[in-house]
Amino acid sequence: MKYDDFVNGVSSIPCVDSSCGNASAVVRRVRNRKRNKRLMLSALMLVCVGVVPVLGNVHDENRDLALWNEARPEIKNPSQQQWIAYQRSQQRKQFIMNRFGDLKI
Amino acid sequence: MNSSNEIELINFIAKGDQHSLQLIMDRYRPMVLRLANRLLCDEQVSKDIAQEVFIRVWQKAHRFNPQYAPSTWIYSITCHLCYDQLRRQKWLLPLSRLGFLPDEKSDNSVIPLEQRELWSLYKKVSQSLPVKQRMVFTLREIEGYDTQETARLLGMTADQVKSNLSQAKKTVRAKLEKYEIR
Repeated sequence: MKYDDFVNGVSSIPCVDSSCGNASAVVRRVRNRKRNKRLMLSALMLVCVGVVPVLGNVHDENRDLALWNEARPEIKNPSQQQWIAYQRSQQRKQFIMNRFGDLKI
Repeated sequence: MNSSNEIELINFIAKGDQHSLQLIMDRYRPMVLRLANRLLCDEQVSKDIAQEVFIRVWQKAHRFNPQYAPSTWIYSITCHLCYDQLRRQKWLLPLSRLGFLPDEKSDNSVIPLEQRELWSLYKKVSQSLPVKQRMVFTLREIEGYDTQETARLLGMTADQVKSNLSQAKKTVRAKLEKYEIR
């Protein structure tokens, strides 16, 4: 078959559907997509809110108090300031352990 | 409807006017469908692409550059979506081959019976070409765009269009030599 006959023949094929689309269907689809995106984001946030506390350390007051009694047995009822200072020192210790725990000098 | 009217319509679409979108769809949907069908050779996928084109028009109307004609913008969206589709299709196995759908020959019900053989030959030839060559060949030879327009639509340089076209022509000629149409 000749190239020109082929090209002309294909160009003359009317591959057009007579039906015309509907603008409201397009707009509806866009809205649905936006809604789905919002739902996905909400679901993701719910998962994060549920999972992060599980992965992180859950605040355990009894354990904290036991640790306090071990570290500062002389003070029975720590004030809020003392408590915060203790927590910070623990966090610093944990950070140093995580960072340099395996360092041998 | 002239080009400046269409620009007005696109400005209205950017403001959320559904009626203007309908007017643009009435005007361009047949052309978009024809172009997508020629590029993809699949009636159903072409319909999906055509709808996706107008979704983009609705969503991105505020980004339309009035320096270009609305037709160029809409065809350019069509070409890019078809290009993405063809690249994705390379990795997908057609459902018909797995026996879930009837054979692809039953596609394109809009094509007259006497031209179906030619269409199926075009489909075979077109599918044998690499994606870029297929796009360039269809736009230049079948749709009749010139080199500059094709380059603009595909985001290529004129030289890239020319080289892809020459490669595509060579392959198509070689395929057609073996074929005798009744």
